[in-house]
Amino acid sequence: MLIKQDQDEIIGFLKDASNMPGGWAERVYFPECEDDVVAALAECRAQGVHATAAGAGTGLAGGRVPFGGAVIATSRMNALLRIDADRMRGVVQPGVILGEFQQETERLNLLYPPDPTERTCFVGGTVATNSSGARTFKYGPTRAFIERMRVILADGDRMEIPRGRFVADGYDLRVQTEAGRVIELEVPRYTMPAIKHAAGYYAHPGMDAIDLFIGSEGTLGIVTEIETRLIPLPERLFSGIVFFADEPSTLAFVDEARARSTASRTGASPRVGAAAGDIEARALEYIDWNALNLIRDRFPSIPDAAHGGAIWFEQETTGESEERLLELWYELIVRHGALADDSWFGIGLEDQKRMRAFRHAVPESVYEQISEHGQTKIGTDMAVPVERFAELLAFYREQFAEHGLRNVIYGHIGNCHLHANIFTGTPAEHELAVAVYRRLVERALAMGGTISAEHGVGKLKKQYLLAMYGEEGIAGMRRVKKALDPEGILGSGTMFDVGQ
Amino acid sequence: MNIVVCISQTPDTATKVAVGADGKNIDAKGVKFVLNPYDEFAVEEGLQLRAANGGEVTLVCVGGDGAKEAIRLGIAMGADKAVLVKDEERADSFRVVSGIADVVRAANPDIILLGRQSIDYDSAQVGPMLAEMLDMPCVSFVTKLEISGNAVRAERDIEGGKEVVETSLPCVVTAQKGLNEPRYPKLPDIMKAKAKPIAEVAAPSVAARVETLAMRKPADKTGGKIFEFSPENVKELVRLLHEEAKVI
Repeated sequence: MLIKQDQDEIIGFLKDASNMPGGWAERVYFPECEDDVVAALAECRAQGVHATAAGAGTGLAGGRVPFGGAVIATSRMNALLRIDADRMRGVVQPGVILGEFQQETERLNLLYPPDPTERTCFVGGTVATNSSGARTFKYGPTRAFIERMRVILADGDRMEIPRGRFVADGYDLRVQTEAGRVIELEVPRYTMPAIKHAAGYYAHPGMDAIDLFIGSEGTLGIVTEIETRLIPLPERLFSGIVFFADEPSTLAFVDEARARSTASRTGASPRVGAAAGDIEARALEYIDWNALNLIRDRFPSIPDAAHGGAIWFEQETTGESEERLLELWYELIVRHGALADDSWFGIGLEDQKRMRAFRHAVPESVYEQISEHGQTKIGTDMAVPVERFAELLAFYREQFAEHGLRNVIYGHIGNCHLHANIFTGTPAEHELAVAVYRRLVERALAMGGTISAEHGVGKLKKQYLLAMYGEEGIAGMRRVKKALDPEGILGSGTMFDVGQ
Repeated sequence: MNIVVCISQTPDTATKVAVGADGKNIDAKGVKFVLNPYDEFAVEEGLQLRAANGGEVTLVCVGGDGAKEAIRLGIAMGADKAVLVKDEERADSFRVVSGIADVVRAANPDIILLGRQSIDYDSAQVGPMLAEMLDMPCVSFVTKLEISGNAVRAERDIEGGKEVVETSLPCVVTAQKGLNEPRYPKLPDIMKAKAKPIAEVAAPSVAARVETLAMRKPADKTGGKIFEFSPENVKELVRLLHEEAKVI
């Protein structure tokens, strides 16, 4: 197993896309198989140092940024083990790049839906953080597609965890390692908000142990193999980027598109059963006016009148349903006063890729802006129940205007989950932005929301996780951690501080 | 102005190509097809010429029924009509041009636009060959096109700079990236495109003049060799770069 200790060579492992400063480590292990992972962990235990698992480093919350000890990089465990088209399953090692895995499944006309905006991430990283993306609106997060995992615990014990094998009896969860050791866990007692949510351990009575490991951000074990569910690739796709002149029209359009899509999905639509059914967006994404202006250089055909921002949507169709669905979308777009003639629509793959790139250009440009101009950013990741969403967005706007903070707002409006990015140039501005951010978090929590709908807690949002679940909730998580990693070897400082 | 745009359907740019069982063609299983990206520039230029000069844009495409997807996209962008030369075989450039030459001639065009090449076989022959068969001038890889009356002034990329050429209508122009920014179709036009009829003509009776003997992927990359730093290893590295890698 390759082990790197030269600081020049491991510098890339001391950070992630969060730009969190201060990471350091003594060495990086590059395991190529489970035995290597076990050996690396044994060394860490013997020397009494922490081990931080590392994926591709695309995380936004500092989860993989080490503060001492060793890093266990999964980049060499990157075999796509198999795609079983008949059973519609894929089996990969954690270091497989998500975009490459999806390309392989799509060759076989199968879709692996989870689509975080940054597809150069590792599948292992998406499981560790329960990643989401635009298609989460229709398909749910990564969790919904994970059927089996192999996990190495901090003490080197291996676990095979197929969905359904270890299910809690109420709050009592018993798991067993391959060596036969039984570990008893108490499921934390907090109630997770019933919205898109990725903060803290997944917990509810009667839960499956696999769900505890998914989204545990590298604090409970190192994932060495992942079996995913796949679905048939939709026959056709239709996409649009619809521009609006004013925000109320944008929001009214979204409200209707969201409600009708949700009704179609759950079978509650009055139009289901008709010839082709009603519209059902698989992605419903928002890019506000400020964000449009940030990327205008790259996309000169953004209309000048688009003060209400843009909505990017994707609709799956079949040869049979396409025509009717196009008509339904057109009727909706026109009725809500969109800038229909200046909007973009795509029935071809290339156009659809360009639209995805358009949406991706926003976080990319934010990143360029801060790295080229020596700025920092504060980014929100909160989501709230649908009935409170407009209120939260209005509060964002009001706070940013009141404090004169430069910002862009964009993201997963279908899931009532927007990223507001505040740019800060000076330390004073940064401090102000942090204070405003805290106010936004408090407001989102008061509305029954979550502090993180997709990026996870990492090391940057620990205090907010505490605000969300309270001391009791964190204590529940610590008990789980203690049972699975009593020496506190893995993912030290991620999600919560063990020693507190 | 009578404008003909020749288009083709190619595998999606993100396709990971595999060689088919016959060892002569790509394995089409699971491959998604798109309108050849360079042809989008040609269609856009045709639409802009129509907007400036009036007239009609006719699409001409060679392929099977699957190619109708690419044609519909061109119609949704704004083309007036389309002809499909029905040819299910994979044709060489000569057979492709033979297939479209009569159709194009019959349309009596003022200008014929094509993408600089299709991104599948990359031969870049169809434009110039068509010009030869129709006995018209041809300007290839064009990044800027100005037409006034019968006079054509075109800019094309050359190594390290630009070349400006003049010719006259009728002529053949092949489009390079940078010529324009292809538009997205409007939603009502997408809906209408589905209903527009596509004229079909039979494949030419001529045989291909180029035969593909074999198709192979490049050899997979092999792992590199890593040496610890030491004076002996520097010598060994130089020896290997010279004798094994043959790069110095």
